[in-house]
Amino acid sequence: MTLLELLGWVFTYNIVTLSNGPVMVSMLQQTLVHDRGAMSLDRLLFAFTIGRVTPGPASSWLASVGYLTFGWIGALLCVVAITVPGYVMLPLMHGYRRIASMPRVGAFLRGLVAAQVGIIFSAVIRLGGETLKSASAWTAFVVTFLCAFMFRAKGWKALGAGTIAGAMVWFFRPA
Amino acid sequence: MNRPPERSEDRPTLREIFAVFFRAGLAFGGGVNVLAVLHEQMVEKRKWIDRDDLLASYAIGRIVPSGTMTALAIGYGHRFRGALGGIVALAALLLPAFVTTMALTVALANEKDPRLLAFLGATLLPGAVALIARASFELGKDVLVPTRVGLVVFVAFVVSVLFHPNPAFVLLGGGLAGALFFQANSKSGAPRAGAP
Repeated sequence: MTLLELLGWVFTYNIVTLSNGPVMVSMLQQTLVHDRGAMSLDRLLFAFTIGRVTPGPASSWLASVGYLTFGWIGALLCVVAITVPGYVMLPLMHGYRRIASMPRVGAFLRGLVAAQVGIIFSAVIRLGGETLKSASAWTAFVVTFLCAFMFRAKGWKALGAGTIAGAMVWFFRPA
Repeated sequence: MNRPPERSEDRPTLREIFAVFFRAGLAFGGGVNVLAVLHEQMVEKRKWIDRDDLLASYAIGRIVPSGTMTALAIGYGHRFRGALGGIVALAALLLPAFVTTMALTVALANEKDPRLLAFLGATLLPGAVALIARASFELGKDVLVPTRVGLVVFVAFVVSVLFHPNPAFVLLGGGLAGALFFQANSKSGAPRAGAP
C-alpha cells in the first residue's frame, strides 16, 4: 500500500463515518489488515486503544495508524487528512438553517448511521474471533464491557479495569 | 449566531485563542469533556460567545465529516481571527493529543519483547474490542426493531459478514436507502450520527 492510498482510505472513511472511531476501526480492519496487509490487527487495535487513553479529540489515534505504516510523515499527513474536512464547518455555519430544513439530508444521515450499526456489529464478531482466545482475554473483555456499558465508566477507566482483571488471570494461569 | 465584534481589539487575540483551545485539548474523556472546557472558557469565563451559540455550533459540528471538536476549533478560530485563527485553534486543540499519541506509539513500535506484546494482546486489546462492542450496543439499541431502519441495519450486517465488501459502499448504500425510503421528518429509531 502506498502512502497516498492510506491517506485516501483514512480521508474517505473519516468522512463517511463522520469520524466515528469504532466504525472506522471496523472499516480499516477490512482494508488495511485483511485486504492489503498493510498492518497487523494487533497494531490497529493498539492504535485505537492509544486514542482512548490520550487527551483531546479521540480521532488522534489515526496519527498512530499513520506512524505505524509510514513513520512520521504518515502520522502528520493522517492528521491533515482527518482535519481538512472540518473546513466544511465554515459554510455550514453560514447556511445552517437552510441545510437543517432539508428533509432528505436527515433521512440520508439516518440511513448512514443505520448502516454503521450493521458494519460495527459484523466487525465486533470478527474482532472477537481474532482476539478472544484465552481466559485472560475473555476476562479483560467482559470486565471492560461491563464497566463501560453497565457502570458508564469513561473509556480509559474501563480499559484500566479490564486490563487489571485480565492481568490477574494471566499471571495466575496454569504454566 | 453571534457576530464577532467589529473592532479588532475586541476580538480574542491569537494567543488567547491558542490558550483556550490548548486547554481544551488537554481534557481527557473525548469530545464531551472538550466541549465542557470550551463552554467554561468561551461562554462562562471570557464571554466570547453565548451558550446557545456554542450548542448550535456543536450540533452543526456533529454532521461535519471530521471530528466534532476539530470542526468547532476551525469554526470559532476562523470567526474570531480569520484563516490564521482557524489554524491556530486547530493546532492548539490537536497538539496535546498528537504529542501523547506519538509518544505511546513510538514506544509501542520499538517494543520487541514478545512476552510483553503477548501480555498486552491478551489484556489490553480485548478491552479495546469491548469498547467497540459497547459502542455498537449504544448505537444499535434504538434501531434493533422491525422498522425500515432496522432492516437497513440487518442488511448491512449480513452483507458485511458474508461478503466483506468495502465498508464505504455499505455506508453509502445505507445512506441512499435512507434518503429514498425513510420518512423525511421521522426521528423514530434514529441513533445519533458521528461521534464528538
